Amino acid sequence: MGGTITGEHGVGVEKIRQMCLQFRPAELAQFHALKAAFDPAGLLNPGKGVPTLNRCADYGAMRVSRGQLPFPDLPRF
Amino acid sequence: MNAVAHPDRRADVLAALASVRPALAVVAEPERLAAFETDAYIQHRATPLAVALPDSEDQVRQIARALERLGVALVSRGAGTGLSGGAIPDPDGVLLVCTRMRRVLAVDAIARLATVEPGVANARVTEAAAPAGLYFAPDPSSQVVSSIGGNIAENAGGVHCLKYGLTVHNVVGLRVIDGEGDLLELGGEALDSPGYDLLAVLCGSEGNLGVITGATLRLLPRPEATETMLAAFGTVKAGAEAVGAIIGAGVIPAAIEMMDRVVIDACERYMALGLPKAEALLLVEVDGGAEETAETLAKVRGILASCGATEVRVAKNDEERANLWKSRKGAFAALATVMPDYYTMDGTIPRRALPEVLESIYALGREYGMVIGNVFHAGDGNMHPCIFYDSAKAGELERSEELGGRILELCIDHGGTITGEHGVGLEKLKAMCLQFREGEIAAFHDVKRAFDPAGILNPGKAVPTLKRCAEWGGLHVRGGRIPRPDIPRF
Repeated sequence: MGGTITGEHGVGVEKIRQMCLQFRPAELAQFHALKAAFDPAGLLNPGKGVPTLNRCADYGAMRVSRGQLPFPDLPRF
Repeated sequence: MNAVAHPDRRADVLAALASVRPALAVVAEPERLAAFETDAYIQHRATPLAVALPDSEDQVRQIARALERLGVALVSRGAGTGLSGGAIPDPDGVLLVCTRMRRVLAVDAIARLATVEPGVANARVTEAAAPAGLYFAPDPSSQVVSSIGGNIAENAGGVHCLKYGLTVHNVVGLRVIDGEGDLLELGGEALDSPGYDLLAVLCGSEGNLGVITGATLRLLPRPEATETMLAAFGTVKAGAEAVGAIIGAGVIPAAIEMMDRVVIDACERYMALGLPKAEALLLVEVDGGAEETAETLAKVRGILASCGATEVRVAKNDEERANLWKSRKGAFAALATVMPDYYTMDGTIPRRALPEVLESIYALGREYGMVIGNVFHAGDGNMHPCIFYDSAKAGELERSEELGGRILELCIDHGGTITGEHGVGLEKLKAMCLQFREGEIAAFHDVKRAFDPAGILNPGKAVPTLKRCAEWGGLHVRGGRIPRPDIPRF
């Protein structure tokens, strides 16, 4: 419907899986790049808010566009 | 700035642009490139290798991919009305001009949203929304020509941002091609969206982080009533104090603009408007529901009187309102009658510091023996001191820039900033070293790398390198130590 998975409660651990549906891989990669910019060692609240691309691939929930699975080279399951 | 590119490089770039499908409009002849060599910061210019005029987001994506591969700079722009040089081309790069992508794709009256391409002029959005009784609130003075993409990249303001916010507060969604040629959809039609707020990061990023290829804009209903008044004051101080008194009383006017004697005289000379004889004029506009607006008008009139206004004129109709605004809207044209050249600054200060900072600005003018006029967005503390000079006289341009730098330092000393709405671009790179400490500038570079690992997007603009700050000697010195003593200087 063009909406979002969270209005005001945040993602945390609860909606991490739905983040794979909301965003495409390039967007998730951008979130990770930005986190790396502020937190190069990855110490700040790891594993929350934004899922890893691997995790999205494992859930099989990545957006498939133009009949292609994104990042087919990522190991899954 | 006009370096001659290696001929092979130029050929590679032209070949890359020629490979874009569907075929792309490209300008590469020197005489036609001349039209693109500057924006509205005309003190500087440069000729790009080529200008690309895409019609679609997919062409932008292909261009970014190709240039990333070649490691060639990509400077994007809209109408080129930017005042700080953010859209001046890179002599070794491609200038991407978005003005062909100028459609209003949809106006949704229920959601009060407009979906547009980046090259559409700001005023065109309001035209498209008008049949639904809606409008797009941000109104930079350049709105008849300046594009939405450029407004977003500069986080443009305008006379009504006091009440209705800057561009960032009126954009809910963005489509962006980043420095690797990836499409990012940021924000959305909901009030909040999950993940980091990259939409806000992109607003005001001056082409450093991505090329804006589409935007979803918030539309507002036209207010039921608007009242506009002009108040005259015998001293600048009294006018400045009235600004604080109005806000302090809990009123948020749609706009509070201020003009001093230099500007009033110039407007009279240029437009013969019959303005009151005064040292300072305040133009105050209030809007909202009919009863609320009438009540606010009475309240503001009372405050203006108690602050020593010698005269208050209230517009009786739209024609009179347009006349009151004429002085403000035409002021910068009128200022051309004062001296051959002027340099407009764009610092901000906290409102409460307005009387004191204005005094200090006039004192600096006397110190440099230069005339300064002030016409600005007083309500949000966004100053636009205009320094008058004659570029035909040796050293005057440099003196105006030095005085401008002193004014920006003054703004920072009062807890303000070096730019309110015009951006950093090339113009205020040096002042950025004063505004931010080293860790903050490093964070800007880290964020840029996240969007643009190859560093092709508008390089050398908006954020200075730490090395440059060290050379200028402008980095904050804390605890008696020079920051980063390891950086080579001079």
